[in-house]
Amino acid sequence: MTLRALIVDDEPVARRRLRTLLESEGTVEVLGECEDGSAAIDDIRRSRPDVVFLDVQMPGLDGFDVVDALEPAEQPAIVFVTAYDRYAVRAFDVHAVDYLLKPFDRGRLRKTLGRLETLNDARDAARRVHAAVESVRAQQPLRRVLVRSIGKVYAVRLEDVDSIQSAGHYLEIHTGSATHLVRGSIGGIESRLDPARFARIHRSVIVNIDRIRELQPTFHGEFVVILQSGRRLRCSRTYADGLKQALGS
Amino acid sequence: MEDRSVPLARIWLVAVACFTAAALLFTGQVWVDFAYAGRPLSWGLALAVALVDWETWALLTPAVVLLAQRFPFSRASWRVPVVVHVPAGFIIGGVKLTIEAVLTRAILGYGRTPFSFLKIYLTLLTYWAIVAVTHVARSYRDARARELRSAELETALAHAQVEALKMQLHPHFLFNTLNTIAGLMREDVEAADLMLTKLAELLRRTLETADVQEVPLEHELEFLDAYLTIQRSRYGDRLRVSIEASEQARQSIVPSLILQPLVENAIRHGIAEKPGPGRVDLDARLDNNRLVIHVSNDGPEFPPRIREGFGLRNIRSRLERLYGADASFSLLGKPGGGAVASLNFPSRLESPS
Repeated sequence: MTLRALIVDDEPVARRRLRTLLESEGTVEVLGECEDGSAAIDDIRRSRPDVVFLDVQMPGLDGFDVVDALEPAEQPAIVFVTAYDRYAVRAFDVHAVDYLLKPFDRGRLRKTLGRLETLNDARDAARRVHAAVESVRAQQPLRRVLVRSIGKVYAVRLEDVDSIQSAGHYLEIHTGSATHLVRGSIGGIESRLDPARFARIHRSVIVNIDRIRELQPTFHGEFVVILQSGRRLRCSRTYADGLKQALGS
Repeated sequence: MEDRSVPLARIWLVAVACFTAAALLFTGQVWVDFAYAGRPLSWGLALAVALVDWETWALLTPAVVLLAQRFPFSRASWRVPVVVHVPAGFIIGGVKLTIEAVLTRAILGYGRTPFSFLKIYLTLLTYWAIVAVTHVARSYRDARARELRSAELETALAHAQVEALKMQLHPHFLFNTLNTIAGLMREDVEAADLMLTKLAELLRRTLETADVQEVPLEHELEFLDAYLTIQRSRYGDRLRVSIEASEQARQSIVPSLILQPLVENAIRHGIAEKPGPGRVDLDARLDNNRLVIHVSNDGPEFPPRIREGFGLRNIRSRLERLYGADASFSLLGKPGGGAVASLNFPSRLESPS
C-alpha cells in the first residue's frame, strides 16, 4: 500500500530533497509541497494525506500552529522536521512523536516510514502530537496568537498587540488596525505572556506596556491608562501597583 | 570628544601641599637672610614670611593651570603657547611678587629686600614648573584614556566576532545550510560546491577578522556576499537581495563585522517571519565626506518601539568608541511595513595605524 504524503517546508531545496528521498522508496506518493503553514492547512483539508512531513520553523504559521489549527479528527500522521530545537525534540521524545533532524539520511527516513506502516491507532497518534505541541508551547513565552476566522487561520504577532480584553468565553485582541476574536480566558493568556511586556490592569484587561503613552490618576488610587493609539483603559486599584512596577522596570 | 582637562581641585590640593613643603624648607633661608640684613626674626615670623612667599602661589595656581590647559604645548603647536606663556609668566610673576610684598609688610611692618634677581628667577621658574606639571598630568591622562578606549574597542570587536560566529554556528543556520547542500548535491553539483566553499569562506573570514577593528567596505561586502549566497540558496526565489555601493564607498573604511548583523536581522525579521517573497536592500554611498549606509527590508510592520538586542547595542557602542559623537545609527520602521537601519559616519580611505 502506498503512503500519501505532503511536504511542508519554507526552503525549496529542503522540500525537493525530501521529495526525492521519499519517491525513491517506491512506497510513498508525494501529493504536494507547501511553503508555509496556512497553505499546509488548506492542502491537508483538501487532499487528506496519510502523513505530513512538517517543518517546525516557518514564516507566518509555524509547524505547531498547523497542528493547533487542525481538529484532531482531520489530523493526518505528523512527522516533524527540524534543523534544531532542543525543547521541541525533548517534547517529541517524551510523547513518542516521530521527528527528523535535518539533514537526515536515508536510513533514518526508512525507520520513520517503517513506523508509519505499523501505526494502527491514528487517534492516539494525533493525541500524542497535540500533547507534544502543548508541552513545547508551555515552555516558551507566547509570541503569536492564532486567530481562526471563517475559512482561514492567521497569526497575530504579540508585538503588534495593544491590549487584550475578555468578553465572555472569548478574548478581544486589539491591534492598531483591528480587533481579533479568539477563544480563551484572560487568566489563561496572562500566564503565557512575558510579564516584562504585558501587564494586567483590570480584572478583564491586559495591556502591552510598550504601548502605554501616559497614566492619569483618577480617584481612590485608580488610573486611566492612555495608549499611543489614544485608547483609554481603566486600571483598577488592585493592579495599579503592579502596573507602576512594570513601567518602572 | 571626552574632556581631557585635569580636574582643577585635585591639582590645587597637590600644589598647596608642595608649596607648604617648600615654605618649611625655605624658613631657614628666610631666618638667615633677615639675620644678615641686621633684622633678625623669631623662627615663627620666619616661617610666616616663608609661608606668605609660597602660599601666594597657591592663590595663583588655578590661573596658571587654566592657562596651561588652554594653551598646551605639543609637537604640533608650540609657537602660540610660547607667545602666551612668556608674557604670562612675567605678569603672573609680577602679581605674585606684589601680593607677597604687601602681605609681608602687613606682618612685619617693613618689607624684604626690595629687589633681587634671584627672587625674580625663582618666581619665573615656579610659573614654568606649574605649567610643566599640568602638561605631564594631562599627557598621563590622555594616555590612560587612549588605553581605555582601545581596550573597550577590542572588547566590542571581540563581541562582534563572537556574535558573527554564533550566527554561523547557530544550529538553524548551520544545519539548514548543510541540509541544503545535501539536497543540492543530487540536483546541481556546482551549486552544492559553491555553497560549501561560501560556508568555508564565511567561517574563515570571521576567524581572521579577530583583531582588525576597521576594514574597507569592499571587504565587508565580500563577507556579506558569502553569507547571502548561502541564504539565497536556502530561500530560493523568496529572498531578493540588491546591493548598491559606489566605488568610493567601497574603498571607505568601516568597522569590521558591522553589516552582517544588520543584514541578518533584515532577513530574520523580513523573510523568515513573513510568508511569501521578501527583499533586502543595501545601499552605500558617500555624501559630503560621510559614508551613509542603509540596510532595509520589506518585512512585516515594524513595532513602534523595539527592544534592541545585543547585536544592535554592540554596533552602537563600537560606533561611539570609534567616532565619538560623529557617528549615528538608527533603526526605524518604514511606512507600509519593513524597517531600515541607517549608519552614518565620517568616511576615511585608510585605517589609522
